[in-house]
Amino acid sequence: MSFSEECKSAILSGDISLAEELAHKVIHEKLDVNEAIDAFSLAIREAGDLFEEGEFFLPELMRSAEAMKAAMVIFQPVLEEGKEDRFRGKVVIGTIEGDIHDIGKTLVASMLTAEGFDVHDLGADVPVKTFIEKAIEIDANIICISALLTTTMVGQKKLIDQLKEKNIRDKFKVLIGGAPISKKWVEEIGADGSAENAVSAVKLAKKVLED
Amino acid sequence: MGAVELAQNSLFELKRNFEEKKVKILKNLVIKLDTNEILRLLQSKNSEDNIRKAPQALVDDIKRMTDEALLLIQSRAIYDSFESKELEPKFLFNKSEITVFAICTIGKKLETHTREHLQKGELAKGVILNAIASHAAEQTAEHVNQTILNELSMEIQGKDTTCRFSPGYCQWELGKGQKTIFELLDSSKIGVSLTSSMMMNPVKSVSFAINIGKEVDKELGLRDCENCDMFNCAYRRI
Ligand code: B12
Repeated sequence: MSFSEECKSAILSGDISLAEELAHKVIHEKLDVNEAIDAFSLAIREAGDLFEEGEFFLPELMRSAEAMKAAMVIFQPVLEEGKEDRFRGKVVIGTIEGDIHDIGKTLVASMLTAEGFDVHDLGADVPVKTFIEKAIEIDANIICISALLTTTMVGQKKLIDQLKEKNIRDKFKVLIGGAPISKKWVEEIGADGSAENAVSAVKLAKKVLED
Repeated sequence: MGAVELAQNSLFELKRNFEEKKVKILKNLVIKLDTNEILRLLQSKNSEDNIRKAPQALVDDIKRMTDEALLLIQSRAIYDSFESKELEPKFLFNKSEITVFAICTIGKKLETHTREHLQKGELAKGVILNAIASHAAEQTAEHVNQTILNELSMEIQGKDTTCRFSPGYCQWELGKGQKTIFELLDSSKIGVSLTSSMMMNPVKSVSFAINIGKEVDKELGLRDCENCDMFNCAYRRI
């Protein structure tokens, strides 16, 4: 098995200790970190596709994400030394105020982290003001707002309206999500997009950063 | 503890039990959990035509975690009956005579426990516990539904009943529906509150209504997917 095949199998089988072992090997043997991360990334994307196609159950995908994260933690110091510059989109994510359902948001945050985004998770029941302050503070690329119910999703509109009022709407891409979110709602409030699960959320985040 | 105090205590207990009966509170409900339903909540919506069987290791994990979760589930409910003609919106209640409202919950413990695992980065475990909790909330509602029907069997005789239907479904506007139910039932008695935007806390809670009458619309609240207008629902079974 080639090294990248080994990386792939560690992620797809959700084998955390194997993923860690492989990452250590990269560091110790001074192999190409970027190449290794690419191999891992390819695998986590495949796990995502398998989930979307119905081949994988959610816990299997999550185990892959756990293995991915374990490897990334080991690569992190090398990446931070700046020798390897990989662009990592900065994301502020949270569930909007009045809404205390945070599983969906946590899944999106985990998949974004697994794919190398720099994610700042503000938790649940987050006031509009906190979202905006954090986004400005860290100079975020993307703001992700989650809401479970039709009564709580109005907060997503409030956030976008506030960005417009402050004349900073263009500084961030705003993605929204949650069970009741429709295309129509995305257009109505002027968000940059929405996705129905954590796998497509990552694809969307990558896409809006390319635009 | 002295004898008098003891007697007073049990008197207090009795009185409390009596009051709780009056406002119809159910506690410590025993619910059954079905691994297949939990697995269904853990699949993406495209998996319907996919017949992949769950790996045995996953099934074992779910069974083990279900036992763990059951210790943290505190199923409770409050319900009461009301005269339908007083209720809004008319299109839901006008053909009904009596309407029963209920609020059910599995409590906060499992939710907190699940969040702790997720925060530690134990994602797989977290999503399994979350699915167990969602299924448990549904099962609690089902149990309460049955209890209500049994208890009201006298009132129901010669009449029809709808299946249970909830605010946020069946064109029943979520905000208005929750307001109606929470104004009529003292949800604090079972530890459920509403956030500023009408979400129930604990999250794993369900509110619902059942209509009773000679001419009730029996299609209303039929809970199978065939009759639901959420065509893109991730959990649609048909
Ligand atoms: C399981 C379930 C329940 C369970 C558990 C609820 C929970 N939140 O844990 C129980 C039985 C308790 C329940 C109760 C209720 N429910 Co419910 N429930 C569902 C169901 C079937 C799945 C929700 C879920 O847990 N999904 C799994 C999680 C992981 O997914 P998620 O949070 O949606 O997140 C994913 C995506 O949305 C996306 N995402 C999330 N955030 C973001 C953010 C960004 C930026 C992006 C890009 C993507 C993204 O990625 C996530 C991961 O894949 C949905 C229907 C559906 N198909 O979604 C209805 C649904 C959410 N429920 C609904 C309703 C109405 C209710 C109740 C109000 C009913 C009632 N009157 O009692 C209550 C409310 C509970 C409360 N606390 O107030 C409605 C909400 C619509 C509305 N009208 O507002 C839905 C949509 C069903 C419907 N009618 O069509 N529910």
